Amino acid sequence: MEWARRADAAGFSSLSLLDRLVYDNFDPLITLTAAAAVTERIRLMTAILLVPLHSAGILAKETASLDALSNGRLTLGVGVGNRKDDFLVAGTTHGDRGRRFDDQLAMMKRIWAGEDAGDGVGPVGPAPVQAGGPPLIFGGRSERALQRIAKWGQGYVTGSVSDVPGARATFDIAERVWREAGRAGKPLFVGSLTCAIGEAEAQATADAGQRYYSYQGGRPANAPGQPGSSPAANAATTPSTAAAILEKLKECEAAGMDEVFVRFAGVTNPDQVDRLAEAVL
Amino acid sequence: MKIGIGTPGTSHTLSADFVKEYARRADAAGFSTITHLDRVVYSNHDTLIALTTMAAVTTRIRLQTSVLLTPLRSAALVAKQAATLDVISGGRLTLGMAVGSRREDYSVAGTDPSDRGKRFDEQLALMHRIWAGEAPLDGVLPMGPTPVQPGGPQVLIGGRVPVALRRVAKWGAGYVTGAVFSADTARAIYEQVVVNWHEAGREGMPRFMGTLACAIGEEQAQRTAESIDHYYHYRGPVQRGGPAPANVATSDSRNNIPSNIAAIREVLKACEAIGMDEVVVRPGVEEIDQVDKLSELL
Repeated sequence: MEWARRADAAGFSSLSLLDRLVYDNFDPLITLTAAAAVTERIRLMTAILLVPLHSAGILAKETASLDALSNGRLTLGVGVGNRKDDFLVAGTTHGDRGRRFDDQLAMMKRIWAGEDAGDGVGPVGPAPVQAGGPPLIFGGRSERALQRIAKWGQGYVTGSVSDVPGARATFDIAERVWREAGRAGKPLFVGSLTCAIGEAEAQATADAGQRYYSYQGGRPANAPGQPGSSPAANAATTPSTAAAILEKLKECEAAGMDEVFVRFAGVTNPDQVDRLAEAVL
Repeated sequence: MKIGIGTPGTSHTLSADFVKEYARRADAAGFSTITHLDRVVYSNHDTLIALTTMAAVTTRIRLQTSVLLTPLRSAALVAKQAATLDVISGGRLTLGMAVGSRREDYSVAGTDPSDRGKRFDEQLALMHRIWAGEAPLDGVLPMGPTPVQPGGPQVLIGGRVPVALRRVAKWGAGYVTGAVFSADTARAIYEQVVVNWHEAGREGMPRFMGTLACAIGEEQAQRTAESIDHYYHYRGPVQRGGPAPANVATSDSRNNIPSNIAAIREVLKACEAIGMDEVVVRPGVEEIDQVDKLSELL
């Protein structure tokens, strides 16, 4: 909570949190709710919430409640997720998660709009503060994933942007799909940048990244180089000084990003928030 | 006997400011616990989200779901959310849990109501494995975070059927009643809980918690009665064919919502006489000063 207070006071635009089940992380919605209660201004964002692990009806109610209790400060970064152990433990099916995700998005939108949730049960409640529900931004790289932005969302959020040109290439497809769907304006382009101030802190962040991306069956030590492990999850590409972070942010801005999350992990000292604020704001 | 307080959740969507201020005042006044109820197809805030908001602005008071309808949810997600809230609150979470019986809640949650009792038993087992840091399933790594309270948040069970009462001895620290109850019924239920407890070889005694719908003021008590009526009959009568819900009120008790300190004290005395450890007083009106007025009971 001290983290959240400092980030709010320092002027960061949003506070984001990731979602995993079979992992040591805090639940993102509960943690963002606690952060919301002690902050006034900062937006709260999941980055990203793995929707098919959840019941769409319950998730719609939880997120509407958080939106109401934060006075409309919630943004939902959402995606399908991939880790089989998460699905197994959640008790949901893995094979049809993409199709289910589409059905879930439709149901959540109905619930947020105060419409019948299905089967004639009527509206669910509570009403979110943001009309129509919290904005949705999508992670993922497949064309199908990017089409969901045009259909349901406001924008695209990257994984950790070690490869800015690659992220831009994906965003180009998102923009094309957006135009093809006949939507006005542009999708939001949000990046997350894994970084930390200090060599040791950057190392801790990189180590945490490797642990996070280790898939089921893979012990942390097996993770690097596994398919799907993050290209950013190593110390060499984790910026550790204010200058290196600023350079990376400049590159992100040049690529057209509207907002970038500076994200650290494995470091629990709230001073990191102040040091990052001093460096980048 | 300890005295807790419930949010007026039965018929209102409360504002963020109200929820926080209500919790702050309850914490400062010295109530033992603050509770929030659970429904899906209803205008209330989600239980765990609302309690987390209250946790963030309080330091002392215990936070309790009253009651969480667990079979509507994924047990692993509940375990993770509850563990997170237990950590954030410094170990102040109590999970009151029961099965719930409203078909529309199950429909929206996308879960099957027909086997909810059996699933609830499996869920309780899974949640306790997760909280203990054991593998949730064969071949899957343990998942965090580790709750502050060893073995997980305190668990209280609601319900009236024999199988519900047996769950207290197997998984719980105690039993929690619904919002309106008669002392005779509550005592009979608790006696059965105690029998099960001893049969299961557990030491000490199960906790016994009551929930009392009440308000300060005639008009407020009347509206509290109406809100309970609204809550229990929101979408027609409770489904038949399954176990009776934990806390269905009789029309007679709805007409007897105590409306002043003396009348509430009298009910609390009856609660203490049948062995309750704690009673939660729960007004059904969205008036912040009910907290201050009810704190005279402390």
